[in-house]
Parts: sequence; C-alpha cells; structure tokens
Amino acid sequence: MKKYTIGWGQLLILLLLCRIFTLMTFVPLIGEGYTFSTQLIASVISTVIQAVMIIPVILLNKTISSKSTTEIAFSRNKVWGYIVSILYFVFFIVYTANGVICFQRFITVRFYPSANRYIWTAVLLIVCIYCSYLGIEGLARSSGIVFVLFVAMFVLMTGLSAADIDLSNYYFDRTYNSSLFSAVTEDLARNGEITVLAFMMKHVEKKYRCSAYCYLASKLIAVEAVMFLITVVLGDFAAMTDYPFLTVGAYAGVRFIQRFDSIYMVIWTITAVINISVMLYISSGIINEALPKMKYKHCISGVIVFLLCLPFLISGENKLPIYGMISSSYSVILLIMVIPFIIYIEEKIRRKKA
Amino acid sequence: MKKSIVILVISVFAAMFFLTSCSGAVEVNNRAFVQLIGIDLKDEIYTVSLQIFESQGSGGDTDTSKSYSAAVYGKGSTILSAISDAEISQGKKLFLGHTKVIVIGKSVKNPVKDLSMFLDEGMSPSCLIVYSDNPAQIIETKMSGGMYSAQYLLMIMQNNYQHGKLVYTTLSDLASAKNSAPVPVIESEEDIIKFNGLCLMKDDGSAGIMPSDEVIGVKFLRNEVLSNDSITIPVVLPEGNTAVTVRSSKTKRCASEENGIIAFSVDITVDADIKENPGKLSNNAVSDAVKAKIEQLCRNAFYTSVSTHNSDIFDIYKYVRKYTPQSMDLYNSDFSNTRLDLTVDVKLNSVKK
Repeated sequence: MKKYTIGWGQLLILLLLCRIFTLMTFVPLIGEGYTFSTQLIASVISTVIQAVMIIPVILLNKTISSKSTTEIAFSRNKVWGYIVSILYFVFFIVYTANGVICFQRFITVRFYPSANRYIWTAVLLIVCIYCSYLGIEGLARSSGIVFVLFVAMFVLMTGLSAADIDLSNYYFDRTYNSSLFSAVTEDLARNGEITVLAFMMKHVEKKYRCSAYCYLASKLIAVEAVMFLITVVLGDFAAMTDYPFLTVGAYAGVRFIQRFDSIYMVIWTITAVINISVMLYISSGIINEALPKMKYKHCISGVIVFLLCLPFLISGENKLPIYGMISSSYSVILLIMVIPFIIYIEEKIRRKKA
Repeated sequence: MKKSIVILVISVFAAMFFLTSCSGAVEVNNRAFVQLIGIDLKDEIYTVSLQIFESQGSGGDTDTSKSYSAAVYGKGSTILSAISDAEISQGKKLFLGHTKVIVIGKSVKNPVKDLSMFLDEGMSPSCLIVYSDNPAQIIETKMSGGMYSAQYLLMIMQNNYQHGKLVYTTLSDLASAKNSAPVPVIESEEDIIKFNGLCLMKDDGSAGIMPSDEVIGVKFLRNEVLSNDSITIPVVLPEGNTAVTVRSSKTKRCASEENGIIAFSVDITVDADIKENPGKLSNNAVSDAVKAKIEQLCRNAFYTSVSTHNSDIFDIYKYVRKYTPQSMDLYNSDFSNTRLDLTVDVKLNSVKK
C-alpha cells in the first residue's frame, strides 16, 4: 500500500517558497524596454498559461495518483522511462545549480565580498544534501515555518515603507507592449518549480488539483504584491539596483533597525536551503527510479550540482548560456505539459485497449 | 553506529575549526566607520574629507563635550582613489555602509554619476546628500569642545526639515532623478552649521540655487509636509498680524497637455491651527490670507525651479508619463514653459484666543 507523505497545503507552501526564493532576488529588466506594468501584466498572463500547462499533470494524477510521471513512464517502457528520467534529471540538476549560483552570487556581492566562493557553495550543498536525505516531510514542515517568517518580514517591510510609497511611480506604458511576449517567456522560465508537480503526485493523496491551482493563485498574489511594492517605493531607482527587494528592505531599515537586510539574508538563506533541498530530493528520487540499486543518491546529486557550479566558481561569471537554455521556458513547457500529456494519452489508449 | 558517531564527531570538529570566519576577517578595532563624506574637485583632482566615528572608550561615558569623530583626507584622480588614499593615511579599513550624509562640493562636475558609484560600494540608498561651497569646512566645523558628528548634523537637518527649511534628498533620489533633484545647501559660519536654500542639482552640476524662503513652497508642491512638522506661516493683514501652524497637508498632483503646453495641476489641502491672533482676526480672513500666502510660496518655488532654471524638482515627468504619456516629447523639448494650475484649500481648526 502506498504511503502518502505530505498534505496538499504543505505542497502548496513548499512550491510557493521555491517561487519566493526566485522572487527575493528578482532582477527587473526595465532598462531593456520593460516597465513594471509590463512585468505585472506578464505575470498574470504567465500564470494563466501555467494553469493550462498543468492540466495534463492533473489529468494524469486523476488516472494514476500514486506514481510520479517518471515512474509511470518506467512502468510502460524502460527506454521511454530512461529518456523521460534523463530529461527531468538534467532539468532539475541544472535548475538547482542555477539556484546555488544565484545564492552564492547574492551572498558574496551583497554581504561577504571577501568570502571564499567554494566554501560557501560546498557548505550550502552539504546542508541541502542532508536536508534532502531527511525527506520531503521534514522539508514541508520547515517550509510552513519559513513561510510564516517571510510573510511577517513582508508585512513589516510594507508597513515600514508606507511613508515612501508614491503611487505616481506606477504607470502603464502602452509603448512597451512589444516586449510583453519576452516578459511572459522570462516569467515562465522563472517558474521552473512548477515542474515539481510532475514528480510530487505520489506524495499527496488528496486535493492535488486544489494544491496546484491554489499554488498558482497564491504565487500570483505574492509576485504582484512584491513587484507592486518595489514599483511604488523605489520607482525608477528599482531599475538601477541589482536586488530591488533588498533595497526596499534597506529603506524600511531606516525606520526600524539599521541593518534590516540582515533579516532578509537569514530568511533568504533558509528559503534557498529549502528550494535546493527539494530539487536535490527530486533529483535523487529520479536516480532511485532509474537506478534503484545505486547508493548515496543524495550525495551524488549534490556532487553533480557542485561540479556544474564549478565553471561559475572558477570564472566568476554569472551566467552560462547552456544553463539558461536548459532551464528556459521551453524546457518548462516540455516537462510540465508535453511529456505528461504524451504519458496521459498513452495511458488512456492502453486502458481503452485493455 | 560507531562509524556514524565518528563521522559526526569529525564533522563537528571540522566545522569548529574551519567555519570560524576568522581568515580574512577585519576586526572592529581595525575598521573605521565613515559617517560623513565631503567631496570636492580642484584641478581635476578629487579631495575627499571623511568624518570617522571614533570611540572615546567604554564604560558609559556621557561627556558630550568630547569629540567622537575624527577627520581624514585623501586625494586622487577618482573618488574611489581619493578614498583609498584616505584609507592609507587612516591606517584602518574604511567601511562606507554607515555613511549618513554626503557633502558634495560646488566644483564637482558630474555629481549624479560620481555619487551613483557609491551604491555599488555598499552604501545605503537612503544616505542623505547636501551641497556646499566648501565640503571640507563642513566636515571640520567644530562645536565647543568637539567636532560636529554626523548624528548632530542629522538632528539639525531634521529640525530644519520640520520647520520647512529643507527637503531630504537621498542617494537613490539623486541617482534616479530624471531631470534634477533638490539638494539642501549647507553653510558653515563661525562654527555654526545652517541650511540656506536648495541647490537644483542636475547631471552636470548645479543649475541654480533656490532661496531659503521658497523651500516651504517646494515642500507643499512635493507633498512633503508631515503631520509632526511645525511649519509656521505668518499672516500680515492691514487689520493685524497673526500666524498659523500647519497641522497636516495633502497634495494631489496631475499633468495634462493643453494647447501645446504641459499643465501641472496641484490641489493642496492644508489643515492648520491659528497659533496667535492678537488682532482677533476672523477665521475667514485668516484662511484667505493663508491660502494666498501658500499660493505665493508655491508659485515662487515653481517659477524659480521650472521657469528660471529649467529644473524638474517636482517630478513632473512622473505625472506626464502617467497621465499624458504622449506628451513626453513636449516635456523634453519645452519643459520650462510648463504651467502650474494651483488650488489651495485651507481648513482652520481652532482659534486660540
């Protein structure tokens, strides 16, 4: 008998926290023809697209609720199973590496410029490997606590920034509508955690659909709230700063405690640990499905992530085009919509024949 | 079981030895905390004057006559090289993250570009900017028995702000200003610091100076009159004199284009109390006089900034961009002809006899 491990609400919070991780170091692209109004509209459109994209996963979950997409693929055909597993594994590992690099860059640029990048990365990965080894239940429980902390921080930040809010900073610029498409695809790429839904089916017994759609709705609210706060508080200055959300915190800090950004750093670090641990857990889960006899799966996933981070650590670069391509919006569409849809159709045909 | 305990013990000891953050760290006693920076340019050489917090010892010493600051100087072809020069003479690693005020000199050619660089150096975007003919003199201004600390300067600034003598301009305001930003002019006279008007700061330096008595108008137009301010408006009438204290003020702004001219509409609602009324003037008479006075202050400020110096210190571009985006070209080409449509409504709350 299958043992379901987490509730639908826990999955919702877990995914939301993964999105918050990306949101906290959101870098607006206003200088390249985007405005905040474009970003806000792009988020709404992107969420609607995501709501459509996850339909195959929801249908698959309705048909076979106790297995992940990769497990279903394996149960039908070994070769197909391996192909699907490799695609998911590569995506999750690269997505994790991107997250680690993002964290490492943020910490070294903003807080500890003289810190050793290798040690930061290694320590973070060791912690995340251990967290993923403890399992999804522990991560889900922790995410609940961290989410409360984030909400408290956000409320405090908003309250303390209230005096700096200038609604004239928010405007709708029709001339930038041409950049809406690229803003939508970028937003989709920023929502890579949605692919986790293809794997988490086996962990949630009831209300999987509810969990997925509530996640999309709450994520949209969170994204719009944070971006709106950045827009009305910072205005044009948001485009000049690397981490606008952190800058809002610095503003708020003037009226609260001198270094409000330290609170931000603590919460973002814990969020990073949860995000990376979830991705490592899924990566090692995929290894377990493909190669059940393999030992130290979590460690292997962690080591691969570290190796993928090495080019960044050695060169000090922030981006590698190949990594961006692997975790792009097209990959998200392939993994959350196309593959689950093929598997669902295959399953339907098989059942009809049977 | 034994194996895991051994690994655990080794991990704990390894963490104790290797994660202490001791290597490469700068201890507090080896670090100098910059509170105030003065920047000037002479013969293409930048001179920085840094006021540094200097502890006089521990044990709750409350003798305020002692100096808690020290000044160091540096020169260089860029601001950063001048700061490095100052660091060498100071002997300690300088930390700019706690800088409270930057005093920018008259001769600095590209103040916006020069100061924006500080944002990359970890300086708070809410660090305040002031303008002076002689920044080094401000840094050196002494109180009886000690040097002006940045904290004292902030207190003086807050007092001036509450009395309508200055507006705050932060590093981020200056960096993101589309056209220009109002920077308070600071002067030092016989060891006394005072604020005297606003410098209309543009990318290429000062576009002009706005006199001190027009600053209240700027505060009204920029919606910067706060409830805890104590702005007093004197009223002089043939029947007698009086004064009102502004309790609060709300400014609504909008922009539109009319007959090829940008119209900046401002509605100001003022809540005020009559402070003294020796001539026993009626509420209506006082209200009308206050209204006329505020209108005059605002129009003078607007005229000096927009018409005379072509400086948008009221962020008119934001309202043009928001309400009439098609007029942005007109804003860029013919900003100095912008018209002010002003409405002032004064509510007098009580008459103290």
